[in-house]
Amino acid sequence: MRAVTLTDREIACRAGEGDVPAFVQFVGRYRAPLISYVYGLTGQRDDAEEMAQEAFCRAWEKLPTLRQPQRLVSFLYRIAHNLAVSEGRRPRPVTLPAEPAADPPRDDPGADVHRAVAHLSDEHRVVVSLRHFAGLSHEEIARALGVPAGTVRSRLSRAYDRLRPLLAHLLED
Amino acid sequence: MTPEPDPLEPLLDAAGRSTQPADPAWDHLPQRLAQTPQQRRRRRLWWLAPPAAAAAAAVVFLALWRFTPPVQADSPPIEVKRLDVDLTVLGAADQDEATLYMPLLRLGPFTVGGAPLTPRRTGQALVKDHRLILNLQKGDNVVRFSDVAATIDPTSVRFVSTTDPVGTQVIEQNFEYDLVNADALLHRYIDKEITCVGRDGRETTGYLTAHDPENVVLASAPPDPARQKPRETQVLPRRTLQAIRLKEVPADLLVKPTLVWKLHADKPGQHDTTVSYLCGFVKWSADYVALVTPGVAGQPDLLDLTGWVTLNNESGTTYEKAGLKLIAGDVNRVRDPWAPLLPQAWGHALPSSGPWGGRGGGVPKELVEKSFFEYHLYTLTAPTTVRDQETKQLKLLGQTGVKAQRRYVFDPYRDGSQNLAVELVARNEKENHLGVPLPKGRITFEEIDADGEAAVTGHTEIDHTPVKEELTLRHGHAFDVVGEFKQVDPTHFEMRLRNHKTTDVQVRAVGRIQLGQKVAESSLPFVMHDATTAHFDFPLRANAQQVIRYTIEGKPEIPGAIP
Repeated sequence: MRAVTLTDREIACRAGEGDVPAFVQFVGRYRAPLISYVYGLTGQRDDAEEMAQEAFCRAWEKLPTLRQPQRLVSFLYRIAHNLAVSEGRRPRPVTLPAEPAADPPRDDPGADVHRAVAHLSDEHRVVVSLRHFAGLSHEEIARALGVPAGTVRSRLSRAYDRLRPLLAHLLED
Repeated sequence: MTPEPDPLEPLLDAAGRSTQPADPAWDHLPQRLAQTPQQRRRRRLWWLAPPAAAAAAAVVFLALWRFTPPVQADSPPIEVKRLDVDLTVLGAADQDEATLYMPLLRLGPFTVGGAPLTPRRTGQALVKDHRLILNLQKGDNVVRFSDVAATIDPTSVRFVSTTDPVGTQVIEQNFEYDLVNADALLHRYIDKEITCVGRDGRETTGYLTAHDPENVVLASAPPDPARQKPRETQVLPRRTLQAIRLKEVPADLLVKPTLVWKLHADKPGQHDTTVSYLCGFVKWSADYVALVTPGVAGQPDLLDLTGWVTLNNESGTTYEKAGLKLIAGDVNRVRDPWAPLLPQAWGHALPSSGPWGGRGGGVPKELVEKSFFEYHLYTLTAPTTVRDQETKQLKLLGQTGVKAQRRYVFDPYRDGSQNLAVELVARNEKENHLGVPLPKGRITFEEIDADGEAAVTGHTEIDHTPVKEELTLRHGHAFDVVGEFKQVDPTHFEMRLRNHKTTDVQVRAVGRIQLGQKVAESSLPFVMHDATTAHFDFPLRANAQQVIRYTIEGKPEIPGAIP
């Protein structure tokens, strides 16, 4: 059993050599924010989980080609983003309506928030996702994305400015 | 001055908390990762690029000029993607036995989805899986078709490519079910080096020679076919170990059961395919609730009949957004000759269908009934996800105001010589607010008590009941209507029925005879229900008695005997 908590960079190095448990630790750390991120992009809760798993698998597969291990999180989000975009373009087979339970309820504020976050630009969406869906500090986000902490703060601030009008109906309550 | 807290951030935090992983497939991700090969790191040999490109161009030019070989591109891996799935579930028979060839169940104690799978009524379903196979090459291909039921009958698999039905054929099929578990894994390490970590942290490395649930046997050296060097062995009790360290998981061990095909394709590329197979441990049953409103002043009782389908999936896989069909009727099954004989008790271990309460939310999907061969087919109007280890309930019908006549049945051979059973008899017709084929199932009776609450007053079972037939619901035994049965001599019988109620009742007395016999005389008119059953139907007034006397004649026949 692994008791040591590894940094993202250490995970990238170890997983690049085929260390599955190290990468599993990474999965545990980022799966919830990644699901939220993909959910925002696709609007499909179930698909988001499936796509997040696929993104982790692809990241694992291509990990040895990652030249900057400190950029592992950006790498993962980029893969997830590409997957969500290509999935959106793919023609889907015509199916009967899905189960009602699979769709978010109309009055679900969480669904509204994810839809609003999906309207942000890529770099803003990533910082919001890491800050609020993964619970990382500004410094941790900075390390994960390989940018200064000040940049993280300014991106967050701009993201909030864009989100406020989109979520005005929830903020007024 | 303290700045006003921004309400946006808590809102975002709450949205993040609400999106937690729920898909059980996350648990299998480590195995999936372990089976996914990683790409090799590319070396930065930029300086080689121009000469390599020139050399490649020259080779291609020469090849095109001199030869005309088939161009073998670096073929992408074959992928199988599920498009949709249909599930047709057969009703579980009363005396259900293992009728499918399910090899995975022969491995002994086996778990699907973590729950032990004990032998009991297996049920069966036809799965029609519509999948896209990508990147098929012309010629022979190896296709791995996973996410099939663990209880699949591999002998029932049928494969059709709608893209090229004639040119695409399965040449060979293997059902691989050597699933990853601790023992299977350890067995693969016989004669290989492993490390045992003791509870005190001490590590012992050696070559695995044998293992069982109690012990692990390690040798000091690898096996020597010539047996020239003696090997030291050490027995390590497993209770003293905290871990056994292995090098890597063998690639041929599977996380889930998989069909592996050698598939011949004339047409390369993408194929739209349909695979159908039978699997066990998917079953359904019908359950009904009859809310009885007793009739007053000789009026018939009224029934509000609600029917539910209880679907149980223990097949070891989930059917996402499946088109669901249920077949009602006793479908003929042939017992698998290799299946172990189960104790009779297991045959009656019905799964609990759960409490009746809590269903009030209503089910938005409907089951639509159609005739199908000699059976009835119920199709759900919208797809539904049938998860592994799940009991799903769907509404079958909801009919109100069904009129039912109350009948008191005196059948001394069945119920004893004193009791009269109470039956509610309703015509299964549209005029009677019913007129739907009713699959065999259990009925729970409810009645509104003095407090206005529905109280359960009994259970019974009904057989498959077609339209325009009589629906007979047996509802306990009467208190105030009693009977007596007496055999006066070998051919003379007497039945006395007494009604102590203050109202008239309708009574049916049942007389039994044997094959070859007949009722010669009787004090009341009767109808022969079948060769051995006579029905005496008559009204019995309040506080009155009716005596029935009948005489039989003829010699009983022995069934099957040659006259």
